[in-house]
Amino acid sequence: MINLLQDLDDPLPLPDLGHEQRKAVIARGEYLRRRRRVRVIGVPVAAAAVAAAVVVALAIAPGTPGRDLLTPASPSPPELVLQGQDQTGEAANYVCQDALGDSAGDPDVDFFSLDRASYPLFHYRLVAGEMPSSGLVEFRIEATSADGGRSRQLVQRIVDGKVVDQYLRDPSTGARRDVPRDENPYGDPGDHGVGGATFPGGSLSGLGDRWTWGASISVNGTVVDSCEPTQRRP
Amino acid sequence: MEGDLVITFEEAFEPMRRAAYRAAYRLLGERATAEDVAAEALARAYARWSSVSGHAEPWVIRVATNLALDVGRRRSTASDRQALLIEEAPADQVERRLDLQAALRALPRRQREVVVLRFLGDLSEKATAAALAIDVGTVKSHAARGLSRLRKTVERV
Repeated sequence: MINLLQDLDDPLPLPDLGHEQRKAVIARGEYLRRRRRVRVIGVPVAAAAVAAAVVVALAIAPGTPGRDLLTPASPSPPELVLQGQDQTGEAANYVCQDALGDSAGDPDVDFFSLDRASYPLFHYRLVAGEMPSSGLVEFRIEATSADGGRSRQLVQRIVDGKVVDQYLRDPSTGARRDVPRDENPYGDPGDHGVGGATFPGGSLSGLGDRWTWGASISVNGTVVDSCEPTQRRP
Repeated sequence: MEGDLVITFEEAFEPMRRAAYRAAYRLLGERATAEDVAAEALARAYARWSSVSGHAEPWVIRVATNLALDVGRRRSTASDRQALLIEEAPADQVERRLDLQAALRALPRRQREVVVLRFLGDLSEKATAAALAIDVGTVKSHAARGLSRLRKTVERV
């Protein structure tokens, strides 16, 4: 059965790569390695525009429901009310570096960044493994106040490769605020995906100005990769 | 290469590149694009060599396959298909490749991993089992199921 697809092979032999081309591959690898250590993701102008659109949409229709079938129907969590402005915390200055990673077959997060506090934008990319074609995948950022007493979770859930739910949650009260997934600037992450989500302004309010954060990805409830902020932007 | 934790990236470079290129070319049928895909897969392997080196060839095959499927997905428009038809591959092979891409995307994750390594990467059952940390019997069952779902495409190939 092996060589089943050999009819699709290139009939011409593949020549060895030249020295300069090989150097270019290694240079690209060095670049990716540096980015794995310190991920600082610039905020695309388009994403910023979408974020602004999200804020406008929320101002017009606050609390738009976005419940999916995996969310328990009862009892409904209380609505999370956002008050005040986000403070700087670690957003934009830190990125995560995967800590588990490389488990064969599991999605392996190449980077996972929280790009800013104001209208929090998080962003991730898988580099190895694939987005499971079935089951529940959950990306979660948890931001915690400096004294550890308060925290907020930014959550995106994916079923069969499709974003079905994203919400903001206060784990101490269970209060939750759904974020319309139609406004997701990244769309569905796909099999080898880049993904992310934009949350409303004030999502991290109340955490003070020295909050920290970490992120994780779980598949069907099992954490398969996680990361912690590693380095401040120069 | 598998299991050899001390192999250097330089030593593994050409074998990995040929494996990645073969998988990408089988899916895409274009030399330049397949070479680009192979180069990107190798760069990613370099970036995390300490964790990849023990299973480098299956790793780059899987990454190259995913990258090639991404390229294929972006070329889903009719004009893109028309452009492919005037490329180097025969027209029937273009259609077969497009069917193969679609069929692979539709497979359950584990079946696809096995099918990719066994039939796009030409790895043995034993090597596939080692790469995915599963036993050979599981490889056989996933390969059989995956192949039956691909049969319509594969039989045309």
